[in-house]
Amino acid sequence: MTREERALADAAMTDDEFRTEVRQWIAANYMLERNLLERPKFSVTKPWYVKLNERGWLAPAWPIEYGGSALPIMKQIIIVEEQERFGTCRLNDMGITMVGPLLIAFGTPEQKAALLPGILNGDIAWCQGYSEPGSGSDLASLRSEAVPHEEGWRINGQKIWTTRANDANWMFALLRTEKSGVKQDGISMFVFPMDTPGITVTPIVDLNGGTELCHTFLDDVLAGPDALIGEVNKGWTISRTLLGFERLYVGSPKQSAHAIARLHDLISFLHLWNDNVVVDTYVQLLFDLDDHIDLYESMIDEVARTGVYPTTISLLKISQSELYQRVTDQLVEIGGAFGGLVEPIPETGGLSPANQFLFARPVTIYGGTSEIQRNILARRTLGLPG
Amino acid sequence: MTEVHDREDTVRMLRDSLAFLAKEGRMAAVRAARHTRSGFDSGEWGAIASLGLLSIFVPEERGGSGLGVTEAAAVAEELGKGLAPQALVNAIVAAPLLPDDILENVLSGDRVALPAWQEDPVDPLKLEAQVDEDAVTGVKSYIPYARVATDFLVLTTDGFVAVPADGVGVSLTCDKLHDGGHLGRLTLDRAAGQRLKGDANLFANAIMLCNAGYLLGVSQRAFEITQAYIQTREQFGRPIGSFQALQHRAVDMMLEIELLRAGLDRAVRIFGDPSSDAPVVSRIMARAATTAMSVTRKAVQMHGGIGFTDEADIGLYLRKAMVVANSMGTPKWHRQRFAKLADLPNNRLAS
Repeated sequence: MTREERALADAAMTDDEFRTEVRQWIAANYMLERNLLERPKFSVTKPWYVKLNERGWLAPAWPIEYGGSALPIMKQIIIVEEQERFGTCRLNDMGITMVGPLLIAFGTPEQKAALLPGILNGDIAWCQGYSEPGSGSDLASLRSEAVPHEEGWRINGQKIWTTRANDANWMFALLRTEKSGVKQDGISMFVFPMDTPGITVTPIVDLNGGTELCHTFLDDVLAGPDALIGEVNKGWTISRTLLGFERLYVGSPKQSAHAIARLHDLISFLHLWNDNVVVDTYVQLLFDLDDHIDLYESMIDEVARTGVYPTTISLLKISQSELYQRVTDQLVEIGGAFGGLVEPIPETGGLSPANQFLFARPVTIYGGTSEIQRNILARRTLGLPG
Repeated sequence: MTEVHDREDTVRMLRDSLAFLAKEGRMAAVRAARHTRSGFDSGEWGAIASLGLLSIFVPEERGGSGLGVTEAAAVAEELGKGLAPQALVNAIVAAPLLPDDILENVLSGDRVALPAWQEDPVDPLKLEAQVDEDAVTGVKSYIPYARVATDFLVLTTDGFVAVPADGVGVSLTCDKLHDGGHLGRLTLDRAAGQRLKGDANLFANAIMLCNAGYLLGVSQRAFEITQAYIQTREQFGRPIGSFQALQHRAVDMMLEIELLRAGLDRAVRIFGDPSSDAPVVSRIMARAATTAMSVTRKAVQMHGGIGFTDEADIGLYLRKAMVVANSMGTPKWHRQRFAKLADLPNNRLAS
């Protein structure tokens, strides 16, 4: 079967048939470690990335002509859900969910031909150059700049929180191309290889001892004219157009469900099932998880039915991330003296309350803090004055 | 697909039929009827009965609509929005259990049959009332709007019994409630009645779930009133809704309400299996009670001083939530019921 024939066959299945197909295929083909909390390096995950692409399920949303499968949103969700269910590792999928769709919508034919195949076959691993030391929640104030020169663009500035910049070979970045006027209207989208001279990456040690986050310094980086994606000064606008599926997926209950399963393990390990206060706390969190799952699924249903992402979709990120934190708060509290251990609690087979707790910290910060999400919902959904 | 659409149409029609509860002057009527004999506008019960809403659960062959909890919860939500007496919800759930002669008069609005099932302020399932040769003995202490009942659907350890309110051995005392209604204490001393068929668990879960719908309506309208108020009330020369502290609180209220709505939508779709209803119903009821209290409390706070006055509508919603939210099992009781049913130590994700 060609890719196209297989995509059409996938599209023709009922959702239930498709789910069974995905479930069986993952079980038969997944070759890496299951249920990893952290994301492995791209080189480790690449065999799975390539395997998914061969089956047409790496970029299920992309049009067939660009190597995708053009599956309806419910089937895209099923692919995600079944991977979560099986516990496949997290991939660096920014090329699939962010850069690829940007190129497909706004790239030139040459840019598409140069980059899309590399995204699909795993030759390109991306990092995102958005935040800067002075531009976090107020991202549009960013100052790293791209100035035209005779052979393209000269880039100077500093990016921060570039996740896995030390594991990526390309960056997509928002850069200032106009200093006067409305700050959002002077930003453009660029892509360039990380081995371009002038780029220096320095890892940042996080609260959990991890080094996924990086400083990326851009000093007289020379990029060609084709580094610009879309029109100049339209970077802010085009970066906002593709956030639908991401905002749905970010509400996946996976993190919270995983943490609640660990809380269950902890209560069992500490023999606390006879403690009514602990049980009440646990049931409250379990109720909250199930309520969240119902909200998540109701929004999936709505998106699948209407094809439109409701403005209330940002509630999902707040709901999921804050629930995840409430669960990990209890992991540390109920864990008592074990709550601060760097290594897992001895003789528990890897149960680590502190690791979960610290892992949950950035979730309410990245991708728009909970506070920024609330600002947006208050203005856009509730119509409250700015 | 067609069935789903029919269902959506029916729910929409039912909701539309209650649009009069949102009319101008509605809250003045609610306010004026407080602490009168019935506690609500005397024409209201008959008006709602005449719409056929009391017959939602009654099978078609008995002259009813033959609908289910999806429709009943939607009606309850509209009743909650308009602060209609919550006893209507209880009467809707009780109706299908009634014998033909009583049912006919109940559906026409000539008689009012209310369930008398709770004996304990915290544990709604505690049950001691006895029936012996069709005579009931026991005390049912927690019956909202009991004074309007012509008949009680009394739950005993051996099933339901219909007991006329004016029968021998029946006495009723009432205490005022903060929503303007009252809580009836029904004492039955060998009171004669008519034994009825019915599943007590199904009844209890249905009445809880429908009341969760009522609390959703209370929360939703309290939120809407507040959302409108903070856009018009000005301090420091700006609408107070432009302040971030209030905006964030408003978003939290919206999230609480949407979690309740999504949970309730799911629960009514899967309701009807006595072996699995209780855990889900307890989760929804816990969420509903917590949400109604939280949203109305925050709503009063966001109104500032005016929110503490009797003349502001928002206070009617807070006091309705106080009266209803914890009356059919507190959130703690529901979590305990769930924990007992779920065998937690051996059930990693029990729900």
